[in-house]
Amino acid sequence: MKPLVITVLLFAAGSIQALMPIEFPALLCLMIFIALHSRLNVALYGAVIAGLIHDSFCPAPLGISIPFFLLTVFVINYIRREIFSDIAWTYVILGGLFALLKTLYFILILALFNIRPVRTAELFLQLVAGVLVALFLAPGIFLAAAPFRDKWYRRALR
Amino acid sequence: MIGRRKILKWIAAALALLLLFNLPATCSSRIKSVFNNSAAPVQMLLLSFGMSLKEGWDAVRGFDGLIERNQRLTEEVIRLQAKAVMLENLAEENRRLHEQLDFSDAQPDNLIAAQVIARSVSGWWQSVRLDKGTKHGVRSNSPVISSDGLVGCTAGVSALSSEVILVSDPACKVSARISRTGSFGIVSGRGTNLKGYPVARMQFIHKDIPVREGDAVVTSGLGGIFPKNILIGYIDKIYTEENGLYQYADIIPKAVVYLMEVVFVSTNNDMAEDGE
Repeated sequence: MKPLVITVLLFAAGSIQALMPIEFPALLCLMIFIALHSRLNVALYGAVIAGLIHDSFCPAPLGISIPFFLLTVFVINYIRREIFSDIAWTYVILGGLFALLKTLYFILILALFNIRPVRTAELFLQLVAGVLVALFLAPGIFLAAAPFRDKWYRRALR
Repeated sequence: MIGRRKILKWIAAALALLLLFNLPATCSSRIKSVFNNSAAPVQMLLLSFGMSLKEGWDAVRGFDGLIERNQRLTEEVIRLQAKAVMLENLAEENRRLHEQLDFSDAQPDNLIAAQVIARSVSGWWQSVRLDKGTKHGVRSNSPVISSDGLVGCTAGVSALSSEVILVSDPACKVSARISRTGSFGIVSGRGTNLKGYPVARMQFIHKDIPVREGDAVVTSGLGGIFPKNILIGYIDKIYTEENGLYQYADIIPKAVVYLMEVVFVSTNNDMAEDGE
């Protein structure tokens, strides 16, 4: 995928995520897809843009979520050579896993930098809602992108 | 040689990230403004598209849906007529009391109507985004109200949109008063409860004040940001602090629980700052 396409897609995902009344990790699920289907440097660019969009669309300090998206890209880039197969179940597992990691990352950062208190009820909601939605959303993005994937690969081979 | 270049690249990237974390507030709010200004028209478009879809779906549901709707509206009209009569009586009584007490009207007169176009993408922050920004006269630190009461106050304001920190966010602190007893306290956000509803907490209520569940909590007007007598919410549960000096109470912030599509930004407070 080209950086421009990635930027537009992430921007659209961020805008949709901001319209949802519940925790809807569209940016994260799209980043998982990008990390699995792009070269490392392009995926890293995507991670920085995803972080900037994420922090711009909420009152978080700018740049706070970039390390998490970068970590996502590195981990996926590492494991995709070993265990990756392009099926919906891969996305279900990765979606749930990274939604869980995202919640843990934010607990750590919020507590470490004393940005805001973390309450048990909020933590529980974030964990359950984030993971549940990601379990469905990540394979959803995979299925929605299915018609375009072959086209991208043909182009990449050329 | 390649290894060294790679290391230098990583060091540069890490430095860039560190620089981003330590940017002055004005710089980071400018970067945020770029994203938010570009997103505002897209979000408005997506929102109106969603509304049209919903209307279309309602139309497709057909005649059965219309009958249900008609019945519901008829009941609503009867209920509202009864309420209107009651409110007329109250308004008359209120007018007389105002005349007697020579009460000055505390309602803010400069209100900007704004539509809620987005919510915070992260569940850790309780905020919404409005479709009005500095271009329309919105400034940061301005109170935002709806017909149900206090919604919150504006923070990062860009040219075309503005962020509202809701009353249920821990960053929002409001000087408040219990309407029935007149006792003062501080209301601060508590995020969401296990049911997913936004909650706030009123602290520093004197231990001897007979607070009751269901008591209305309003803004006290102290602090200069929020106007006086705006409803914040109703007391849900009351607790006493361990040291026994104060009570505190969980509040259901009505205007946040039933968040309207259209809210109003008050622009006549002294504490408001120019945005961006």
